[in-house]
Amino acid sequence: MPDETQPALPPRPPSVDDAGVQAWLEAVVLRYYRQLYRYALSLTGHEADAADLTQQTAVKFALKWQDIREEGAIKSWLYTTLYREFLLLRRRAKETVEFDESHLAPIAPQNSAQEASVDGYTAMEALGKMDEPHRSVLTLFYVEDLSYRDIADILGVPAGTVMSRLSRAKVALRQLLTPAV
Amino acid sequence: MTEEQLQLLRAARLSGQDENDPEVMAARAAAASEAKVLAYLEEERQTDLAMQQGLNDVDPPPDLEAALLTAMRAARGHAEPPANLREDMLHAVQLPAAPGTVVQHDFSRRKWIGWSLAAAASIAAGGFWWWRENHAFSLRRLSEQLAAITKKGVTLSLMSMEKDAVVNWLRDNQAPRADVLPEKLDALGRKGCHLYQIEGHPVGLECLLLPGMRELHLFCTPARGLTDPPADGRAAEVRTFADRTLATWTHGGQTMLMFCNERVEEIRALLG
Repeated sequence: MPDETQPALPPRPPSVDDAGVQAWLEAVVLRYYRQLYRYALSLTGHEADAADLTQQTAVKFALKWQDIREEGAIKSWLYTTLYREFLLLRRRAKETVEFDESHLAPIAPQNSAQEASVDGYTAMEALGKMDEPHRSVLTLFYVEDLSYRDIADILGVPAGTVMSRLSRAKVALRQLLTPAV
Repeated sequence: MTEEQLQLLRAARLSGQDENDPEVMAARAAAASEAKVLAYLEEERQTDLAMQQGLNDVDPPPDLEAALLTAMRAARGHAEPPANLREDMLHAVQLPAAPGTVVQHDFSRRKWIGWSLAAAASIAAGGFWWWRENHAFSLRRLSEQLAAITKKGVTLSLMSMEKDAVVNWLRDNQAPRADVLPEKLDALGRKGCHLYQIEGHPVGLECLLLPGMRELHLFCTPARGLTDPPADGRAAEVRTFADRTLATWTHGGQTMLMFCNERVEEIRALLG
């Protein structure tokens, strides 16, 4: 599952003036920020950019949370916002963000008993070798265990496109991981 | 089984949440008799689970949690914004401390001298204010005052994106506000509002948002309080003032002064 350490969300406060708004906003962000950061890292390949994207998303949530009508839509809103922030960042850089594995902290090598596992560094490295559309779909699938319909909503593409990208990405991933798995 | 069914099985969530979906169940039934496909899917699933575990092992930087909370509190006016916030977001969150925020002052001996001078200056300023209170002031003078306020950062007593909430707050606090705004302007989202008293004159502030969280600060004060208000009903005058764009117009006895960082042409188009 996405993250076993997720705290439960308190109920949404009933009004703008409710003193619990701030606590609720922070609880939501604390619930999702790890996964958002992982998604951002897979998109940018750079820890500082990923942290910035996560922060911009949190700030937008603090400012625009009232735009989210249904509590069930919060997760999709956060991922959609982060993805749009990423596109904005990329547009500002006026070039495709290259995956830079030198910015990732190396993780200790696996021992033989773990040969069927993939560590975080290897996972990010493999994703970084894919193009952005496939990387994005695959990361959302893994990090948040999202359905292909939810992924389609977040990325603004048809559900069929997500399914075909997911299939192609999985084939490519297995090829990339063959020496490691 | 069809290619679409194969894709459906590959897109099924690893947590098993989709297993009761009729389409997924049909695809599973179709795959049941194809041993090679089943074996392939099982191998793929092991890779998927390993990838999922690997990605979940990636931890954010240890200081990210604190940075997020600080940025969010700043966005809602409860703290100073962090230094690394992007420029447009920084602008969006630059609000003064909310009521109730504790501000710590350094009362060292040297500071006392400063405070004494400040107190004396305040008394003198109070006398000056009292003198000014009985005199109407010019559009230019008000523009200068408001330019200084917007440069320093406006205060928002109410933060809300709901137009009705903003309008109600202004009305409940007897803040000046135009009954009618230009259509495109009125259609914009809100960020909040405030009531200023400037040289004894009430000035309402409505903070509006252009796409991209770009702020427009719309101030409103009774035209009768100004020595030279724009003629009522005439088109807005848009110009550069104090390094910002300023639009001024009067409607229904209320004079509007709108400050922003957008181009003059864009504001002219917005005001029609």
